[in-house]
Amino acid sequence: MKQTTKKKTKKLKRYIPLYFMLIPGTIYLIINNYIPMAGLVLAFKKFNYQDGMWKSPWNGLKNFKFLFTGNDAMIIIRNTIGYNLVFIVFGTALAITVAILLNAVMSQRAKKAYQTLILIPYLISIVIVSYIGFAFMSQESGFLNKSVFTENPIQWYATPKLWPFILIFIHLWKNFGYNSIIYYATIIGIDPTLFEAAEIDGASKWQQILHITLPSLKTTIITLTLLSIGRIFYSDFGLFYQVPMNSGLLLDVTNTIDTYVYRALLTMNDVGRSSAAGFLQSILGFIIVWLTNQLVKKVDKDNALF
Amino acid sequence: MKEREDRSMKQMKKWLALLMMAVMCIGLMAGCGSASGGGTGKKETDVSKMPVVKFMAATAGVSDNLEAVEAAINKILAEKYGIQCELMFEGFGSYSQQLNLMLTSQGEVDVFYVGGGPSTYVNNGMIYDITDLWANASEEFKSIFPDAYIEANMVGDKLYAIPSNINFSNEILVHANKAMIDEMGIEIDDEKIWTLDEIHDLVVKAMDKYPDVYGIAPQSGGTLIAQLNWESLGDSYNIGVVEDRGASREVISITDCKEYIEFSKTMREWYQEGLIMQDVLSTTESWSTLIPSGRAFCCFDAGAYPNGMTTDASTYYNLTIYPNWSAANCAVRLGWGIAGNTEHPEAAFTLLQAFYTDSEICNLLSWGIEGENYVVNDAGKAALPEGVALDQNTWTLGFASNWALPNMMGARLSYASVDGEYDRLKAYDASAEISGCMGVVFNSSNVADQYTACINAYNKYYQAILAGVIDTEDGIAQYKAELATAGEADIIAEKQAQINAKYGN
Repeated sequence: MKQTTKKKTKKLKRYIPLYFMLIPGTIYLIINNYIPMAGLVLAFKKFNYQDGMWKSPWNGLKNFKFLFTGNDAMIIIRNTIGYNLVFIVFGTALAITVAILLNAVMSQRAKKAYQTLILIPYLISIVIVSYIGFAFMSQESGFLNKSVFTENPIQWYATPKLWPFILIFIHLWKNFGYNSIIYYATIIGIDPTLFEAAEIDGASKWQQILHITLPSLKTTIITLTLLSIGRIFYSDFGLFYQVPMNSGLLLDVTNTIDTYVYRALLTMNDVGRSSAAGFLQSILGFIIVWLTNQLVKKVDKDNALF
Repeated sequence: MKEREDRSMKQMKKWLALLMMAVMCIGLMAGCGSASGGGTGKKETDVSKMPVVKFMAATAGVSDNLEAVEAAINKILAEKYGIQCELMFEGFGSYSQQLNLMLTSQGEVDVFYVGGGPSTYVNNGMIYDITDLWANASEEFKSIFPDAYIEANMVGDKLYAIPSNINFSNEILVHANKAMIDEMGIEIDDEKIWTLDEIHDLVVKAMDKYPDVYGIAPQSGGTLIAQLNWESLGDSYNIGVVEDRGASREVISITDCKEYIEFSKTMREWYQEGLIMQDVLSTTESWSTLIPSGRAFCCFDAGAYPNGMTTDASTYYNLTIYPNWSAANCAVRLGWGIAGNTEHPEAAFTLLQAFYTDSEICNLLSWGIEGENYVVNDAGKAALPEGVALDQNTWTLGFASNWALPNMMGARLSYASVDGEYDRLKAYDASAEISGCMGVVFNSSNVADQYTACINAYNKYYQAILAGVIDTEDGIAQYKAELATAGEADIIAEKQAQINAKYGN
């Protein structure tokens, strides 16, 4: 008994520098991620600048009402969740495919070049992406109308039915590089002897992918997917606001919770309502992450996040 | 030997890690410094006891010479008014966000620039009731504005803001590319009122001559023209309007407004003819870059000033299509208020009064330090000092956006202004038709949920219909239906009630 305590103290002493290194990160988390949570109370208050956060009168659930007035609630929730689901499914599939392809490249120099190239879109600011899009789709001077659809020019920014495809394409193009690097990092960590053994046993490349690479990626896939599901009620503001050039005619397919709240509260300065929207997004996100995690736990306990 | 080296290496690593941690901890605190100082002349004992009023404004100009200008103003304030000030200037883009943050804590700002009327600020408790302070204001201060403009800044029976001293009426006109018109050899009478047909013929001629140029550019990104002669009570979303400059005082849906429908039909024809920039809804470029660079021929401007006064007369012909009128919200577009949580409201009001009535202070605010930031030319106007270009000047509030100061007319004119510009502006305002709903500024707080839903419908259809991008009749039918489900009727009723409250039934 005494010895174990001694051992523990010794261990603690040994790791003290590590604990110290934890301090800045912890302080940062407390200041930036935990203290502001108190602000959630604003979602239930009729916020008044003179009275401040705590003394403002309570407002019940009235701040949430604006999200559900009119026909827009269904549209914005459908768009937010719908796009995110498509992004998760296609994004993951594309990223894994690219990561496997990257792993199959033999030349080190080519590998490095590809890694850099696929990361570039991720690093471009969304405002610049929106203008690249405009250069393609401008009605009068865009590349597509000038070179491809010269006979029947298309009013790109006034044709809603095209935009689900455009937005999905741009999102995938912009993000696949970053995600594939994460999957690629996992793939190069797989024990190479597994592949060697499989090859000796006569497994084809396809069989190796199916039976070695994919199962080894499972934990990473689950973690990344759970993280994305947690943000399923949020949307990439730049993608849905900047890329369609804020064109009103496209709102039915481009309006998400974030852009709706932004447009609605732009001129009203209403702290309570904006907090209510943020509150709803994070709480619903948390519930869904929790549910998904429970599901993962049931199917495969080792891979659950918590 | 090697072991010892290893150990000392390990020790060093440990220390480095600790050092790094310490640096990170200090780094965390980097943003937490308090901004002390700023107020000048605090060393003198009597000045140090004076209340310091914090003044915040938006500007498009440069305020790098802040220390010197603040010191000069404080000298005057100490001698004449017994107060001190601290000046803060923000760009227009970041102003309202910065202001909101500052208003949440006490003592950060006392006097600030109020955009779009005080009602939002009153709803949120951000602004101080200055009714009594105004009642005791100097006669000189009170005489700057007609009573109607002061009343427009009241919410209920309390006064919350003082309007900026600018022009209070606007006309709707077309800015046309002067170089192109002159090259085509067309004689222009820019004093008369132009009809839409005449504008149409002019644009057609220009496009025949210059086929690669946009005929009509947007007034601003995504907006062909903001609005016409209907009164929206300061509601930029135009949900519920009063026709004919507010004459009837009867609020109707924008989708029933005859002028909106007729103008949209005309624009639809023009759009299909290719006269209007086809990307009008998605472009972010504005006429002020497109026309001077020769890429566009003309544009509408619904908030224009008198001919030749704000747009460069060597670049544009300004063709009036509807003469000037004062909209109901004309006196609340720009104004000045005192923070709701201020510690010394009297001193803040004294400062405001000095900023409106003391011409020395007005000049300092507009033009900076004489000899350094500006010189007075032979005509008595403020000009750039010799050898100092505008982009090298350390104080350009007056040159860039003097209308965003409390009283630009209290300072001398800019060298670029026409003689007697401010007198002309006052005469222009005096000639304006006054809105039938003058002073009624829509307060959306009772119908906020319906209002946000209607804004969404507005974003979808209002400009698309008005710019002629979609078919007028189909568009209006859809717009009408969506506004109805969003609760437009409640907003119309609320607007009507607010008009009735001021003007009776």
